[in-house]
Amino acid sequence: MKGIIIKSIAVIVSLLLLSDMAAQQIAKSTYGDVLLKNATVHTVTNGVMQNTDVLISDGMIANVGKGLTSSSATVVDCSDHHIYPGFIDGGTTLGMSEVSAVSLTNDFNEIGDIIPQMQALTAVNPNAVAIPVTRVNGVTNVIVNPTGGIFPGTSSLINLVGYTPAQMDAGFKAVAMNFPSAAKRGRWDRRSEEDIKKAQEKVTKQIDEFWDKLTVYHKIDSASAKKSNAKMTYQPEMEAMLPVYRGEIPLMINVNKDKDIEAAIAWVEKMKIKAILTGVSEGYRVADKIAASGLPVITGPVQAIPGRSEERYDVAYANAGVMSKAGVKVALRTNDTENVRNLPFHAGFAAAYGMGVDEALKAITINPAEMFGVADQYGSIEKGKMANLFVSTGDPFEMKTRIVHLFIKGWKVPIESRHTLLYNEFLERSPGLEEK
Amino acid sequence: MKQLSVLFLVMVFGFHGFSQDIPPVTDKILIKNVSITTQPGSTPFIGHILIEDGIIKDVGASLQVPYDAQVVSGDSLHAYAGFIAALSHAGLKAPKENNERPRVDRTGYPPNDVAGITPEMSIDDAYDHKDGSISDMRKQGFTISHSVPHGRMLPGMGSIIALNGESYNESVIVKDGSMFAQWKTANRVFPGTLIGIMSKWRELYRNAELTLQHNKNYKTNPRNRKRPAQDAATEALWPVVQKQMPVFFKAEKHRDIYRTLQLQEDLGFDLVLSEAKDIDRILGDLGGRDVSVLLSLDLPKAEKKKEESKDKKKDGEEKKEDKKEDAEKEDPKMAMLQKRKSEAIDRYTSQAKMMSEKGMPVSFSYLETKASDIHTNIKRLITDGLSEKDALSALTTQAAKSIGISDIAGTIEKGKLGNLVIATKPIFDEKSKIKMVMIDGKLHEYEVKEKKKKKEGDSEMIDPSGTWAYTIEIPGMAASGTMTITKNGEDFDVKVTSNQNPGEEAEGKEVELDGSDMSFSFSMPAGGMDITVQNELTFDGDTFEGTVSVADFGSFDISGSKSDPE
Amino acid sequence: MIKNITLSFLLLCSFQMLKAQVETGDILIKNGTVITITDGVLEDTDVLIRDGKISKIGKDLASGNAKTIDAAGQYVMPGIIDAHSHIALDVVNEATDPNTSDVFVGDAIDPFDVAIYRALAGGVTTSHAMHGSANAVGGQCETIKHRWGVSNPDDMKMDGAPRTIKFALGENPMRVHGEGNRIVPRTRMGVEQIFRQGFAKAQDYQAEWKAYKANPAGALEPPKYDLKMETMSDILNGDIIIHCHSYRADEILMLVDVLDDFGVKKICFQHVNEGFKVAPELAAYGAGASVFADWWAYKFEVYYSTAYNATILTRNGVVTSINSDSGELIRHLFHEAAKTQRYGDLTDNEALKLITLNPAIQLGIQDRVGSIEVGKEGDIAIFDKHPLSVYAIPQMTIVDGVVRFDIKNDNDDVRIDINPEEKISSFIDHHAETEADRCMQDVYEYFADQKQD
Repeated sequence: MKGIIIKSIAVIVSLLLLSDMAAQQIAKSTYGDVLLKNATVHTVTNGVMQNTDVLISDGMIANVGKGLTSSSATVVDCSDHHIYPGFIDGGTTLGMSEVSAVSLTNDFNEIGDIIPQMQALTAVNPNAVAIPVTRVNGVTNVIVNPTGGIFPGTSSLINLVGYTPAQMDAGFKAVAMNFPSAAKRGRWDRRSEEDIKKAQEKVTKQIDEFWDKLTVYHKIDSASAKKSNAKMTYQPEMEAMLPVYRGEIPLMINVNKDKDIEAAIAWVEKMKIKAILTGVSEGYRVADKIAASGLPVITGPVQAIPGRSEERYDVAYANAGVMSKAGVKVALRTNDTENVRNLPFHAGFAAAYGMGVDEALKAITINPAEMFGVADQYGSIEKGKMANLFVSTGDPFEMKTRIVHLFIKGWKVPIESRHTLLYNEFLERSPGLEEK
Repeated sequence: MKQLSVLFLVMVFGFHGFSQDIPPVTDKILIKNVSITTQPGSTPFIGHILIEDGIIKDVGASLQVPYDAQVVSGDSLHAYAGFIAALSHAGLKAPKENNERPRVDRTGYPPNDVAGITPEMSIDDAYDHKDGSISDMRKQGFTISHSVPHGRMLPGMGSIIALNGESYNESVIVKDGSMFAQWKTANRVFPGTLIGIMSKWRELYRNAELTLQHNKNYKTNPRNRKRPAQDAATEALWPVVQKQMPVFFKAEKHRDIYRTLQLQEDLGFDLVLSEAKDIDRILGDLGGRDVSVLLSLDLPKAEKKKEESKDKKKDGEEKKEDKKEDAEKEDPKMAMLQKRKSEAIDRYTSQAKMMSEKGMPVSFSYLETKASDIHTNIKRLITDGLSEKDALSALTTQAAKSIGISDIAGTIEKGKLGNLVIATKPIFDEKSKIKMVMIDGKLHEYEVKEKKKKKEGDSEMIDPSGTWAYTIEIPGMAASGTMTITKNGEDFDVKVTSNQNPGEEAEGKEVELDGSDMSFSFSMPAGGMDITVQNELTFDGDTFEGTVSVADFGSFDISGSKSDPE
Repeated sequence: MIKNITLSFLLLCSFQMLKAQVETGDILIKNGTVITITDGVLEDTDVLIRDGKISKIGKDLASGNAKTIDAAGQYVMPGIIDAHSHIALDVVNEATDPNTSDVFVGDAIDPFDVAIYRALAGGVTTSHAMHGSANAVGGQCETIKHRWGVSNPDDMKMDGAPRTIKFALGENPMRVHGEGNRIVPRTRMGVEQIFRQGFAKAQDYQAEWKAYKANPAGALEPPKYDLKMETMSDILNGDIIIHCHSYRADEILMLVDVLDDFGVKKICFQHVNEGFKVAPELAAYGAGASVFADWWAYKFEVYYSTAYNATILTRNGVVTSINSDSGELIRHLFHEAAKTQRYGDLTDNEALKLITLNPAIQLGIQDRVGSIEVGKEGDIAIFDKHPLSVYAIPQMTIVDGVVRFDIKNDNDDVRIDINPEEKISSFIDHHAETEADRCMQDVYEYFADQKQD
């Protein structure tokens, strides 16, 4: 026991020294076996376990239970602390834009309407300043989305640690789609109802034509697989869409208006593809229909204003809860870039406005993991899963709670970001006011 | 389309060239045996009206017929004082909308004409006595208009003119008697917003007060004083700051109305609130004071009446539609929203009633209303509670009062202008048609077509799909072509071609079918601007008739028949 | 032809608006946990409002004829104040000149903006309706109370609140005028000169009028009446509080220097994302800071930000508030204030001060609102949980003793003004909106024809 204490003091001291010396520089993540002792463990999938230990080894959760020991692990006392699985944001542009008003730092919106071959993972800057800012609030994984057009590209699930795309890749991809909409695009959309309808019809036609070609492409491609001398022209759009057509990966369909949601459901059923609905801000108006379709939903931001002037002020807060109560599998997203760190607060609002804390927690952990087919690695505190988790002083949705330790892929990530570094430097500025 | 547009220009500008103007034989006219309503509220009686040299000489049940008078039979007709438009743009063409940002050195300080500040402008130069708006208004019974220029925040001064179609000098009754103002900003230069307009008003007004004082001082004693600088805009406001000239301020919705009242309160000018659309919210704040208000006749579109023939047997498709509608009705949320919208429409059409209930005199302005809609819209106001007496006074006595010409116009009275409206039925009767309009003693007659009787259950929707040959009746001109109507779901698509210009096609917009009436518009480029042609057609079997109107140019009769009858 | 009638248009009258009549009420809020801000937290306490003013705070107060509200188990706090918003406005930016101090957004109040009700549903009773940030010297602003339901725009105004004006530094005025209109300012150097020129000219203007008035009436030609100069003079005279849109530390110090040179004291910096870097200087000058809880990185001048800004400023003695600048954030300012407990270590009272007493001080209305004290206006927000909890839901919002929001009596469709020409219901996809900095509202359209992408 004594050895453990000395060891952990050494770790703390070394961390302190590091942060002091490296002003304006985030400390390095460290790797190794760690035993988190005596925590309240919120497993998500197996309830809440008191006075429980979690052993992290080789990047994985090696064990969860009481009285665990390990000869190799650094022991961290977590009495009075809580352990949660890392949060997953179901839709962001984190790392794809550094400063959104500076257009050349924006890498999420490529030219073209049908460009599913564009890879979001290619455009994520692993060193984006916003990434550490995000993860210190317990968000360990996010979906990065390309935007604009009809099929703007392929989204990826990433881990918020690593220096290369390969290190960050969390093993899930989906083609993004903006479903043709009959909605006004914001307050400054001055198009008449007629023009909006026409635009929607035009997009629908574009999709139909593309899908017809895709069907042919699929046929020839399937046939040519058997014949070695078959030659097909290079068509990256078709190549990127084939896995969707064949139901191998899902289509993430962004759709918000009630009638558009219904149309999207009908379209998915007709095309017989795998799909996840995203956005879905009017899901509460058609919750039963979504539930009947069995399609999962990634909704958010929760902190948003109603899409109709006559709607109750809190419909966006309540939306996730209404859908979840209707039987829809719901995940949350911030749809943000630099403030993805607010994901737990969005979950807190959803919880307060009808979803309940347990369901809201699932909506940013196990639910998205299941939707993305990575529930064997992410989304809960279970033996054998990836060590994406954090230790907090309490309920991580609550404002006063501190995240004290953070692990992503087993890397112990420092609780530091530009924001904390500036705080440390300027809380008591030196030199201060004196003119020296 | 180019040639079609040329056609329209020809037909518009060539119009007057074809009507030969033979001067009247005598300047005495007697309208005989006509039902006379001398003023709003008075009991009509059968009598005669004698007009001499443009002035009403005598009115009575029996009066001496001068041997040298032209006698016009008024049998079964109804005479009223000529209508007066207390505010309109009659005789003034709307300028082409230009959305390009003007090139100026400093966007905060554009020249006055670019900023839309031209209070010194009279309408005399811009007045076009051949403009279709004059004949259109006259056709609806209007004999006098207080016409104000188009423009932005301060377009200029208004004149009162007789709608006799003569030149400005021949028509003008009062020159430059009012100042016209509106909440129309400059185009991305100052004042680019309504708060800019507020600020500009305050500054202009204060400077007008200051320069007026200095000019007076200078006039009394120029010695040892700096010569006042000349500035047309501020000088034009001198009569306004001295309250010798009222400001007709176009302010439609209630927030613009409040802003107008705020300016009036800050600065103190004489105000006529004009083109007001929802005045009821401020009635309380006016504390029951007499306020000069001109209501807008630009009413929100009436809702289509729901099918009454629901229990009638229909074919499958229509039944489906009914079901859909029912489903929407059953959704209580949608039903509530629909109800709120209906209430909003009703509120707008009840403005006149609410005003007169408060004891405020009602009159109208006509800046935003198509002439052909005026009577329909007044009837909507009457349906919603405006008394016929108040409606008539709004068109005559009250309108005269609000522009200060009660002494010479507004009633059928000895000594007043020979301005009359003569209709086939009492004026607010559903079937009433205007047959004659007299201005300054000169008669303008209109052919009254009896509208074909509508069949029983005329609310039933007809299907006008097919190809139709049309002719537009323009004196001395042929304008014809085909119109193809195709059903598209619940809507209709319309394509229009012209025989004068084969190969070009215009597409109908805002196509609406109500019973056997169809309306749509199409636009086309002409002389560097887009003109919109509005069509109102009534179908009857294999024929239709109706009107086409072109903004600023006037309206013409159109008729047509099916070229592919079944 | 009849001509030359000497006709003056005969008018029936001239009239005046009746001055706004503000509705006030009597309410007794019983047994709540009362967060006074200035006198601690009082458990199980009653607050009595009479004629719209707080008349008593204590235990077992008698209601008299006041309406009684049971707040047992609930949290009663002063109505929240937003020192920076653009709700309830028909116009935000008159973006035609680098100095538009002649315009007032108070002329553009829209009492029917549903955002007002939504703000009430977030406990906000007072907001600072601001001109936008397109110009170095923007328009004058209006402090409004959220009296949802009135139709006279004047009834929204907080009568007697000090005059305020918007200034703006950095990218926005540079973009609108330098890049857009091709006039000064295109740089932060130019921005400084707009202020210096404005104040210096105003000094001349004051002198001219003084001379004019000193002479007998009519002796001199009157100077031109110039509303911009009038406003700038009023600022010099200390009659107007400046609220300045700002981000970078250097530009903040620049304005402090300019104001110091002209003897102008009343200044509150808005956004002030790099305020933390110059907190000691701000405190020394007595400048306020009204910040976002966590907005950053959406443009270059906010790239070097920290969500700990409010904490650093507070700890350095700067009167700090947290604002919304958004029709969305204004609905949960209590939550935005609570972020200072995640990013920093402010106490509950310090955090709540950021959205009550401190913004009141910055708007010069701290004697009337911002805390629960006898004599102050009856503006109250009631929550089911502690307002700094993420799970807190506003229950009731009271303005001048009148209940303007009650969760138990919410009528979904609260619209007052319905446009009869519009569809009965239409959906706006706000997510599809591009980065919407409300501060630049009305300016987007200016640039619509210049957009390059």
